[in-house]
Amino acid sequence: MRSRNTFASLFFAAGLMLVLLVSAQVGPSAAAVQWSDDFADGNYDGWSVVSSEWSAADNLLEVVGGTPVGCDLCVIPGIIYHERQ
Amino acid sequence: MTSGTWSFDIEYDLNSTEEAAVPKIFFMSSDPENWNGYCVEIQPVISGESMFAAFRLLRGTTTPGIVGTDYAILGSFDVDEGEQGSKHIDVTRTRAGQITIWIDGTQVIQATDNVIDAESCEYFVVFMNNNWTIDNVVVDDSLTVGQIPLELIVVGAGAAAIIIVVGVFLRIKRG
Repeated sequence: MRSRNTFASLFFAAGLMLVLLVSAQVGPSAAAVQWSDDFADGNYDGWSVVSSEWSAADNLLEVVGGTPVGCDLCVIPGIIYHERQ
Repeated sequence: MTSGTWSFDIEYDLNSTEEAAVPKIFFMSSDPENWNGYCVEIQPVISGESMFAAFRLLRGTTTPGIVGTDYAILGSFDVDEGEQGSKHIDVTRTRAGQITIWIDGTQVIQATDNVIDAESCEYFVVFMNNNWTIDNVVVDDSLTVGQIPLELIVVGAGAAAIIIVVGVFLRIKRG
């Protein structure tokens, strides 16, 4: 009789533990994606250009700025940023 | 955001990189034009007649009134795969300041640094040249890479509880 009671108590405890764990899993989470961009819309709205020219026409972000007039070997690095980390 | 995960795909062409314009992705920056923050730099390395990319974790600091940025190398990893490539990059940072970089799912750099006030870093800044592309940028305030998924923890805990109960039951039954 004592063994049965012990087993029932242990079984109840294990079940309670599982319910609590599952509840913790399905509960609301504070973690979230702050922002994302896959450029699938063909634009880079939300980004601010600092230098050069940029394009997302090919569904990715790239620098398309050319070289300055009169300096074919010059390289103008492109700078662009997104806020709201 | 002082901790979280920054993910992106980058395609690079080291031939387009000049010494003065080494591309950098500032995943945490306090100023998009005077770079104060942490970045991943893709540095071309010339070895003999070949060239390959060195991915570096840098801390860039600026001083008011002084032009330029001082960089400190916090970690580096060579990708010996030629002059061009496409990589998926994940960067995580914990609240304690531990920064980890994964390239295509493999952890390659880890360092801890708290010199820069992370609270002030509100910008994600891309600095790169022609023939480079960036895509699939995701900024998440949780550590989504390198952590054990919660689902696995729950299943593991449940399995452990069942094993314990069965073990105790068998022991009691045997006397």
